Amino acid sequence: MAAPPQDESALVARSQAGDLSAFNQLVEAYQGRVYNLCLRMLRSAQGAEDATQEAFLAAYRHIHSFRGGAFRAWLLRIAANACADELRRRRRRPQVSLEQASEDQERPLDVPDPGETPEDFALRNELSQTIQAGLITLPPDQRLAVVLCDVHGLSYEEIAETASVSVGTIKSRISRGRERMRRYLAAHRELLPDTIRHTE
Amino acid sequence: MNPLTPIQTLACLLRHPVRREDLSAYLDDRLAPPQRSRVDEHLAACDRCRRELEDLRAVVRALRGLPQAPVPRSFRLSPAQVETARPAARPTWAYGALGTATAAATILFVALLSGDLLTLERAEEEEAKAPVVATAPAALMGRQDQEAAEAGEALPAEEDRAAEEAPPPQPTLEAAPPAATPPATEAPPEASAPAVPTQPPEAEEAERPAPTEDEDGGIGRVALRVGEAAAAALALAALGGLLVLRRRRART
Repeated sequence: MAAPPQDESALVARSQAGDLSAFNQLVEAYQGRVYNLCLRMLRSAQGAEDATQEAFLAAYRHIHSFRGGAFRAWLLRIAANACADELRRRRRRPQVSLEQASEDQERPLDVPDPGETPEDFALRNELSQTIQAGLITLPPDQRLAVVLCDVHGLSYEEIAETASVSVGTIKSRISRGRERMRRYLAAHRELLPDTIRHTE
Repeated sequence: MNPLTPIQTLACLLRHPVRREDLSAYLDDRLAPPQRSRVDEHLAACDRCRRELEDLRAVVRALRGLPQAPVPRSFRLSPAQVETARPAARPTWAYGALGTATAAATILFVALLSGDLLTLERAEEEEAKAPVVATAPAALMGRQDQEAAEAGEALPAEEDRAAEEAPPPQPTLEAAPPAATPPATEAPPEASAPAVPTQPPEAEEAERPAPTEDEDGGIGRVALRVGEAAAAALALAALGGLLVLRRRRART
């Protein structure tokens, strides 16, 4: 994940004054993180792209409401809300999400690393698809907590700020989310490599 | 991975009170030292929990191993995109206005309610001065005259007042609003409400303002109640607006 820009607070202040180029520097710094959060939350490349764009537009529109603190948590909260909106839309119009899912199947979430053999990539891709499929079975609040904790490496406090709940609630959501993932992966153990499938 | 059966899990929990949530927090090093030592001790003695912890660790490892997908394109905003998405000015005026409206309406409501309760108390005091003698059969028989007479006997000093307060039944019935016109047997007690505390409860009395010599007071009380309801509604509406504003802001 990209490190936050050195002069983040100055960029935020300039963005609040309407400086679009300053805001775009923040976009550059955080777009990977925001896009990946949306991808893990929605499991759809197209959906993640739309939600990311939506999140940055909303962040620009409401940059005045940011009053210091962790900009990253603030931005990820907006992204999480954009994902929640998208999930709500999908629930309302399930046929749209089916169409989108078939489009997404042709578009892999991951791309090969340089120097990676096609076999290695296929294996890695399959593994990541299995984990991603497990993540999507989690309720959205647990999914958000687990993704932010274990995929993005945020602290409990930052996750609590992102999800607007207490640290205790986050602790519980992470625990329940991991437990669900444990059961899901146990049921799909044939797809897991030895490093993960350690107990047989 | 060998997931524990519910019975195994239950047995494990009954033997050792280490919660699954503690194991998850243990992995993240989020337990206080005493709690952590307790879990350490438990893990040293419990194979199942140790296995469960290892499974959880494997889950975390799998999630951390998820590759970061490259962004498909730059999400930089163009001037055209932000044309319709200019940074919204902080709606501080709206906060101030709604906050003031909430406070003002609440104060108004409390003031009106106090006035209402005060007048109600006074009315009750006046009522208390009159003796309670009417019986149920008497009430059913149109006891107004009887009550006036009894009031006269019981408290001669109040005779004139009691007589004044007990108007003839006929005008009362004529003056009663059609919707609230009760059966003839109930009308007289209502008309003499101020003098007879055994009458219907206050709430009912309030709903049906007695058109007696207290007519002005009754209308005043109705106005007071309408004012109270309006102030309460205004306070709630302003508070609702404030909450909606805050919620919208929290979502961004």
